[in-house]
Amino acid sequence: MEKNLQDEVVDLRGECCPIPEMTASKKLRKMTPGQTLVLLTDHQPAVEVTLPALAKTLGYPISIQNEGDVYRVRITKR
Amino acid sequence: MAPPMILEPPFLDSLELVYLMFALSGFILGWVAQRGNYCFVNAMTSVFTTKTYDRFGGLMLLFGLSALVPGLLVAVGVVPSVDQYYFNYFGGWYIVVGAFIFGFGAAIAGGCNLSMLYRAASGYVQNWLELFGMMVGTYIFATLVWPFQLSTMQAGLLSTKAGGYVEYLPYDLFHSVSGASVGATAVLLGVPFILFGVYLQRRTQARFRAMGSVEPVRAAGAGGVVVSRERESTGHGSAVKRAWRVLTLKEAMGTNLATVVLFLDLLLVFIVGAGYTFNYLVITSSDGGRFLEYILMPFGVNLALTTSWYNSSLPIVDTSVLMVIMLIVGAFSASYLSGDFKIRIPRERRRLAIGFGGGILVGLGVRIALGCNVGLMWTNFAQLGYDGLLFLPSMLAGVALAVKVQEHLL
Repeated sequence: MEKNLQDEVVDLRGECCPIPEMTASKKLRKMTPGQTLVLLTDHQPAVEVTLPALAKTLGYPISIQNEGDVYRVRITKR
Repeated sequence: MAPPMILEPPFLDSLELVYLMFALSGFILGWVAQRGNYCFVNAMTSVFTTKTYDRFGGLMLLFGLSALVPGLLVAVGVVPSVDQYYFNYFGGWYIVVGAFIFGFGAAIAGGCNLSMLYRAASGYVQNWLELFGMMVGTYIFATLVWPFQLSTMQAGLLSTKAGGYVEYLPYDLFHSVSGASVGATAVLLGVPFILFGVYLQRRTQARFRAMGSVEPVRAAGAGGVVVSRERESTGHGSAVKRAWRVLTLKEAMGTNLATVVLFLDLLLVFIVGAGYTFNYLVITSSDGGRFLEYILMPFGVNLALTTSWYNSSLPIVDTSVLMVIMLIVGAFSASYLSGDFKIRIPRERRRLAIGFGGGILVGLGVRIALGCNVGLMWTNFAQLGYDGLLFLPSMLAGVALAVKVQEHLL
């Protein structure tokens, strides 16, 4: 059970739309409720538009942390 | 009697002013598209990936405004109708086929012709490769497709035999290019697109509200707080603060603000360029594709002498080339000044190959369609033609297929 709830980290630096939201969507489908998907991206449209839109559509909470030249986006599956 | 096919400059512009306006327009286009993350392909992919329609709705608003306002300006006599329909080109099977290939390739490569250029200027290596792929795609088109396509155009096989007023909806619907027929057509074409755009955006917002969606939590880090353009305003003070953040490049432009500015940009060249040149926004896919010709010249290879399409294509120095150059300058300036510029190489190297391959399809598709999503589709709405109406669903179908393919590739 503990193993299932580990964060899954995906490095999407250098990738542009629609890869971030498609990757997130596919990963989230395979994850178990309570698990968090962590995406590392430097693509602003993904941070400002597509990933928040995906999280809103799915009804999952999302947080975004700016870490200099990369954003850490966390989406927790409900 | 057939409508005239001689341009009528309505204003006594100097050529210097015309070129200056096109340079300014290109700069605005690059700047706003970069700051607004404006991408036709992304607006379409989001319909299938995140099931959200707000950005696609923004595109519908853009097309609707572009049809309505220029049409009304012609209807009241500010711009002669001939300046609106003069540059309508042939229409036929190739627009449907080309737009489908283009949509597929652009969604695979990660950018339409507009976003390819502004993202390349923002440091996305994948989009550089897409641009090179586009040159190769253009060469494939020129050698393998163009001779056949030209023969069908000349024979009128699933194709018109001419452009101009032949493809002008006021003439097709009312057999007239009078102000009344142009005005009526502008309303018939523009208003439904505007209403559809508003409906799509409201539908998405209502869906989010119904789901009780929470706004993203944004934590300040080394680079400060990221502010979502999805967030709704909560009052006058909030709007002023947000406007300030947009002006100071701390926040991206919202979809609808970018839509309105891009529409005004189109209107600028529509009026200033009327009667002088191609008075619409252009992403000269033809010139982008022809870069291969110029790259090979120092090596003694002159495609213009051996391949008919290169020989008969556009000259390199004109207002549209100036616009594209200034688009890149505008996008780079916006990217650099906002701190977004960075050389970005995908961690997964096969994305570079996919970008190049997608670029080949982009080059092939836009040339078969005789234009890209801006130079043909968006522009044609402002020309009150029907090529944009053929291009839109075909491109959407290509994007849908690309999304399916990419789901398997990921």
